[in-house]
Amino acid sequence: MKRLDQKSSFFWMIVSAITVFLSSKLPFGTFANPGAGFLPFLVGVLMFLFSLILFVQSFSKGEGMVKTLLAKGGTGRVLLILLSLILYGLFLETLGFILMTFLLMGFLLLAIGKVRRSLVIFLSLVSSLGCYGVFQLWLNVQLPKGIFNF
Amino acid sequence: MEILDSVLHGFQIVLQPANLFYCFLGCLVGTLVGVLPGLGAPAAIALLLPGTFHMSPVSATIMLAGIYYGSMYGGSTTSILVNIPGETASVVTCLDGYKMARQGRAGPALGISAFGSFIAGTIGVFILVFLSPPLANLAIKFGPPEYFSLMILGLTILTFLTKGSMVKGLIMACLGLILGSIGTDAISGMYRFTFNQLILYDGIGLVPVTMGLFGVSEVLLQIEEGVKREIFQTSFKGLLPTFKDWMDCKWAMLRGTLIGFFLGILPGGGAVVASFASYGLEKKLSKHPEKFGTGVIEAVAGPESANNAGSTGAFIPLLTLGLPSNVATAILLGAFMIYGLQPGPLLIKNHPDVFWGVISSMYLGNVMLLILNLPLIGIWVKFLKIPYAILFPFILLFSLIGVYSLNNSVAEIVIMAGCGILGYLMKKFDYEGAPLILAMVLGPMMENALRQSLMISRGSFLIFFTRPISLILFGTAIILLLLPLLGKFRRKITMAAG
Repeated sequence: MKRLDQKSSFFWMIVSAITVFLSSKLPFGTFANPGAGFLPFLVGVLMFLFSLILFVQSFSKGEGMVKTLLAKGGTGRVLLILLSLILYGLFLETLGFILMTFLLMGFLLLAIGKVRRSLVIFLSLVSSLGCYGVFQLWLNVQLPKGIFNF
Repeated sequence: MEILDSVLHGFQIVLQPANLFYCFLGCLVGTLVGVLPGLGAPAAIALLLPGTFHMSPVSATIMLAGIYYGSMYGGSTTSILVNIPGETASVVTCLDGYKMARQGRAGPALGISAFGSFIAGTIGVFILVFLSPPLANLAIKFGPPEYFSLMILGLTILTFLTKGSMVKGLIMACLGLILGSIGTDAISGMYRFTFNQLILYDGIGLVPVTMGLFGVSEVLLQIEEGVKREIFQTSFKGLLPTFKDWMDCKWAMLRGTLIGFFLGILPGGGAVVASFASYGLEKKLSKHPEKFGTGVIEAVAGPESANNAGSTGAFIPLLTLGLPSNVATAILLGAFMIYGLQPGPLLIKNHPDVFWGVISSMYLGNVMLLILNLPLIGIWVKFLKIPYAILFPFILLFSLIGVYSLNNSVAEIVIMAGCGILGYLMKKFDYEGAPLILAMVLGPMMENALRQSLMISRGSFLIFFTRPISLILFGTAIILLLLPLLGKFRRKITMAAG
């Protein structure tokens, strides 16, 4: 934990320094009439102090249980999921909800879940059409139709 | 008598067929999300929120509240049968509930947790009925300094109670305040940290952040670790606890209810803290504390009662002060605002239909949940048997729909994915997400209260210490912040002396 705490506290120090810098460009106002930058500036300073305390505390900590940050073989799956979510977001309005949901579910079930193909096709169809039915037709949630208009 | 009339009025509202249906739907969805690990009440509320826009505010709030307290019932099922808590508030139930299942007593464990939840939920609603109106009257006396002090206390309590380092909790609270300040400044109308991005002008949405930090990150962790669930094979005959079980549990349930309710009232408290506090207390009071962790029924009954009472108690600050005490009530607060309702001292006066309708729906909801969770337990267990490889794409899909449908914004999907990574790393580095979310919700309200207080006092921070209610709240927060330091100081003195 010692090294992890050092790394994370250092990261938060940078975040808080950026916050202080950005909020210093906003009007601070006076104590009697605080401006838009007043609270973010104070919070940024506080966050820097807390990060510094964590950084100092981490030196007095023992190594303790060694924790692996990334599980073996699992990192690829994590990255694939994140990538698929971002791609889903980027192409949702172009390709439409039904097609994108079919593709996303198919990919997640097949590539990550290692589910057999016949079941993948069935579940992808049911989920995309079922969700469209429930959310668009029943709950009146506006889902994108895309260039194919479905 | 006035309260009785109000409750009866509430029943008139909730017994309308549409409201009855939405109450049942909320309880059903709540139980389902409670049973399924990885999709908690906040995510489920956020998911169904867009679908409630065309409903009446009363029906919508009845349903969303049902999801919240319903998830507390369902959470225990996974804890007892799979040793994986369906809800964070059921973590402690794993300790003895799963051991009971392995000893062939899954039925009584499930039974007592459902009965305990029912009893606590019902007593909690009774207290809620009698406590809310006087508290709402007291809250009318609250000015900006009192609100600011109360919110500081809430954040301090949450960071104090988070497991692990309090400093990390405080860092998370600061991050939440910074995220909450993104967007348009309510007083000056100036854009802050928006970088000319249209999507940031209204601030970062709570739903994508919550879904990312809690839903997506949990999926990522489970997929990375390749979780294999072992569902305990057992028959569910004999769900009714024996007379001895009832005798062993009666005080645990009562204590759990009271602790749960009053911890639930505190901003930053809620069901999770309540369940741990109840377990600790039962262990301390038990004649056989060494048996805790080996399958003791009162260790299931107490925390399960506490988490239900805690979820009921959490409605007090929400309805009377307009302050959320946890993530789920924070999203409920957002929902109230979308429906054009302002939770707070005036809700009871301006919208009695909503106030008493929601409270009365909780009585009926608890009965529905008892029926859903005992005779239908076999159905919920079937959901648990769905392999995670099939379940996780659905969890992600529901999160995506929930986030997109709120504002029809693709950018919010990207924000959710980003928060998913953040939440995943936070869990790796031992940071808690709850202070971040609470601070993000309270941030804008806190800032307004702080700036208004300083304007009233012409720049003097003494205003927080010269008004009695504010002094008590702020003083308690300072004591809580100093407690860990005092502990360390005392240990140093003891070591030096001996």
